[in-house]
Amino acid sequence: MTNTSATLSKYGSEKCTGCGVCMLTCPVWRQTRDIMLTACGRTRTLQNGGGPQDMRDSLAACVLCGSCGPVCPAGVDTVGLTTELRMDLAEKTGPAPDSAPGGQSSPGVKACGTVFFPGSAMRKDNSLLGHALRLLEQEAGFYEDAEISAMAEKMEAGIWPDPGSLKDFVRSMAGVTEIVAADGFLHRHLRQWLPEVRVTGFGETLLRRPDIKKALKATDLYMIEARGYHADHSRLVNFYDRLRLETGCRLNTSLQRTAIPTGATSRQNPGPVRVDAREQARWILDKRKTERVVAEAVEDMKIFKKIPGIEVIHVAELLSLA
Amino acid sequence: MNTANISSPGLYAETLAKGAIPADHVHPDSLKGIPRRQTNPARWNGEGWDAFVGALRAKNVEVREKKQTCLVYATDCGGLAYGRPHGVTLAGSAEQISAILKEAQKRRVPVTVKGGGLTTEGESVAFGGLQLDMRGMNRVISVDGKNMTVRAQAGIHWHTLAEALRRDGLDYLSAPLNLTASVGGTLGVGGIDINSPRLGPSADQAVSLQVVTPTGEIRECSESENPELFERVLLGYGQFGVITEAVLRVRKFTPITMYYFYYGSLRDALQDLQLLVREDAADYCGILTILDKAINLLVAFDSDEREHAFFEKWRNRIRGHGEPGFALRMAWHYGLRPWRLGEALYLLGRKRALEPAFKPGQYMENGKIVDRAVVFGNQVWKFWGGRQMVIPDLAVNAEKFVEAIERGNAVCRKYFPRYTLYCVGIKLSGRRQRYELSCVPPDAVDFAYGCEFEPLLGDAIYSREYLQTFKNEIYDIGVDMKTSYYRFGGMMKGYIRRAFGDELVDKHLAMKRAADPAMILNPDVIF
Ligand SMILES: Cc1cc2nc3c(=O)[nH]c(=O)nc-3n(C[C@H](O)[C@H](O)[C@H](O)COP(=O)(O)OP(=O)(O)OC[C@H]3O[C@@H](n4cnc5c(N)ncnc54)[C@H](O)[C@@H]3O)c2cc1C
Ligand code: SF4
Ligand code: SF4
Repeated sequence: MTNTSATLSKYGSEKCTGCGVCMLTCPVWRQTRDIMLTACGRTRTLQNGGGPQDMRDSLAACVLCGSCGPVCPAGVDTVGLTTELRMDLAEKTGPAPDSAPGGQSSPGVKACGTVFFPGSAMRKDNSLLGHALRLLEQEAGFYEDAEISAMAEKMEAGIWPDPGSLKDFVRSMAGVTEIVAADGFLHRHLRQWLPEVRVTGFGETLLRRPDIKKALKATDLYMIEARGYHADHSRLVNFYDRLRLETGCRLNTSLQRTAIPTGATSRQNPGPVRVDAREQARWILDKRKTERVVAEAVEDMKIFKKIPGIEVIHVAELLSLA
Repeated sequence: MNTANISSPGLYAETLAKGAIPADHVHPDSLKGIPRRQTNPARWNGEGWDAFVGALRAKNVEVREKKQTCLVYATDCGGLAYGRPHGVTLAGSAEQISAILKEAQKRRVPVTVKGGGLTTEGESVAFGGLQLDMRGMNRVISVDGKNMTVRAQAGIHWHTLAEALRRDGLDYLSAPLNLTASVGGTLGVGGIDINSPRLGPSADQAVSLQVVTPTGEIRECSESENPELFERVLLGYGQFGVITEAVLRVRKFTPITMYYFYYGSLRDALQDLQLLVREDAADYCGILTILDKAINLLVAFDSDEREHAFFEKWRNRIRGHGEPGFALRMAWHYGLRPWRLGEALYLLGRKRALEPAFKPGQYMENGKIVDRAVVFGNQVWKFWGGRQMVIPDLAVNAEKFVEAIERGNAVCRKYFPRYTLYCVGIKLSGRRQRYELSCVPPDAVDFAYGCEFEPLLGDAIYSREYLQTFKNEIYDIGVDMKTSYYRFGGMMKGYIRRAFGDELVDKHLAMKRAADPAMILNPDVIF
């Protein structure tokens, strides 16, 4: 079996019917209307005997938001497939020229209980990070996750993590029962690597606190971090639906109950097509009569802040601690 | 047969004498004694393609010719008809399409339009020539809340349109239950929904259109402006122009309340459906079956008033059971027939899977379904979709409905262990020109009725011949009963003359020739 045909069956792309439902929620489709740049285009290309080299632009354009996965009626693992195809391509052509550095050895620290991975975007904002840690204080211990962030970035670029580092990381998590990870890209991988560990998003964890939930207003647009949400969609769709019903806030969800992504959390690979995150943000806000945007992801927050006339905060800022 | 016509495809349109449609030289006839016919047997051989592409590129029209790109367009949702365009263009504007069609006329290059590509008979598949992917024109242009209309590009998916309209608290009137059909493709073939008994085919919600004619003129048309073109293009199967923009009627969005009534007898269910349709008893109604054993009459309402009225005036007049009553009946039925335990278990399993899927928690609010089109569209794909799909159908008048469906059901039983029937009523608005040679049966008055016969192919492998023979047998019922079909183009176009007769077909062929002298637009659909 060739690599490509193995990829076909592992992720179920041979089951693709070409129904096109995955396009309806795809930000790349929304901005380009080009089937070749979507999950549907990729699965059809594979079915017709094509390989990753035939979908270079398509693979680079995908922001791995995961919106296409839960809606696929045939159950194709679209995110797994895209990630794998990127790795296939990187193997054949070598890593992309500006691919992320990484590969240092694991810190060798042993964590236990609940740990918090703030992710690279939050780590860069000291005051937000400090605030987030205070909110989580009783719940989670901070974990120095720079290395795992670098690993995630490399994986997104199509480079499989170094097996040694991965092994060390898994070992260091031996006593951990829950990981709160702000970077939703990591969720599916953490669940694969650490099947016994519960993986939750930062937003979901904060919203378990009644005082934070109470601070949400009916005029807020709550911006769900798309990648983590889609990685555990069947559970989270109900969680956020309850949030909406209880608080009256709006969500960045589509009629398919997927989270409309800005694409800002993605480390987009070099290629001719890039999702315009501001344009996505404008569409999310369009005619929604929103007074304030509350974002789970720091990257999303930054994008919304570029749009004039609207207050934007991070979910951690819903509660100010004296 | 004049073989010269076949090797010189461009000449075919001119040299073919009126009514002299030869038997299909490609396929042996699958119906003994009845020659299969096709109106355009020539396959385009690619002559002049490079010059055509060169001319388009000079006008800044992009044509993609990569093998892998062309192959992504090789089939439609039926997955049985395979073709390969020489190149693909993503639709961008009416002007771009006009340039394409002008060059195509001049150089006799076939242009096949694809919207959602949800045809199942290969109607949107390009067997050579240019594939025009209308999904490139996928945007809402304006919403007019005062006049309750929306103007959108015609390649837009109904789902995308719904998504945009929802921000204004609005919804489209009626669309196919599959989410990824496009507005243009649907207006061209008809479009039915469970609210068609009240609102008619999707095509009837069009107020006006922008059309690029096969010779490349960009025209607005409506009932008052270029009405001839308007009537030709609606339900015109893409023969008389490319729809580039459409103004559609819209309505206020409402969550709906839904009820299911179960029947053991197909005839009773069909008759009750007709009663509800005739008397406008519900906002939505239709029949969905598991085999011909669990027959489900679905009834739904936009408002509490309509729901109460139904329970006051009509509930007692229909024979369907509620769930407990039906469960008892089935237990009794299969208790007496223990050798059919396998079938009983299948029905039970299927019902258990379907029921929650049609009422998912995140789409329910206060007992009502929000976004029923999304719920139905998704489940249609999940439970009925597959890499190969055959969905032959019959569209009949009120008097022929029960007989046609019972005969079609018998054919399904003969061919497949698992299948579904999906039946609805379709409200007609007068005797419109657009209904002629369309899915609307010629003898239907006020209402037409339709049924899709859908085998559940699952993982079983059937030959194309087996599936074609099944479809033929369903379509033969249509010929016998002198009626029509939703899908009569592509692989089924051999039935057009048999069902409608030479006179009507020749009339439309003459209109097609006048509108499209080189016969280049959608050449494998009908003409
Ligand atoms: C799973 C499934 C469920 C379905 N359910 C329903 C249902 O509930 N109700 C129903 O009515 N139908 C149903 N259908 C049939 C399908 O929805 C219709 O054929 C569909 O509406 C066609 O729309 P499309 O955009 O996919 O058109 P396409 O398949 O792309 O094209 C249809 C025809 O129109 C032409 N065309 C496309 N766009 C244009 C344009 N802009 N201008 C001119 N010509 C054009 C094409 O060349 C082709 O001949 C179903 C099909 C499937 C596979
Ligand atoms: S939704 Fe799934 S089955 Fe449909 S086109 Fe996309 S990948 Fe294929
Ligand atoms: S992961 Fe997101 S960007 Fe990539 S194909 Fe799916 S929906 Fe599109």
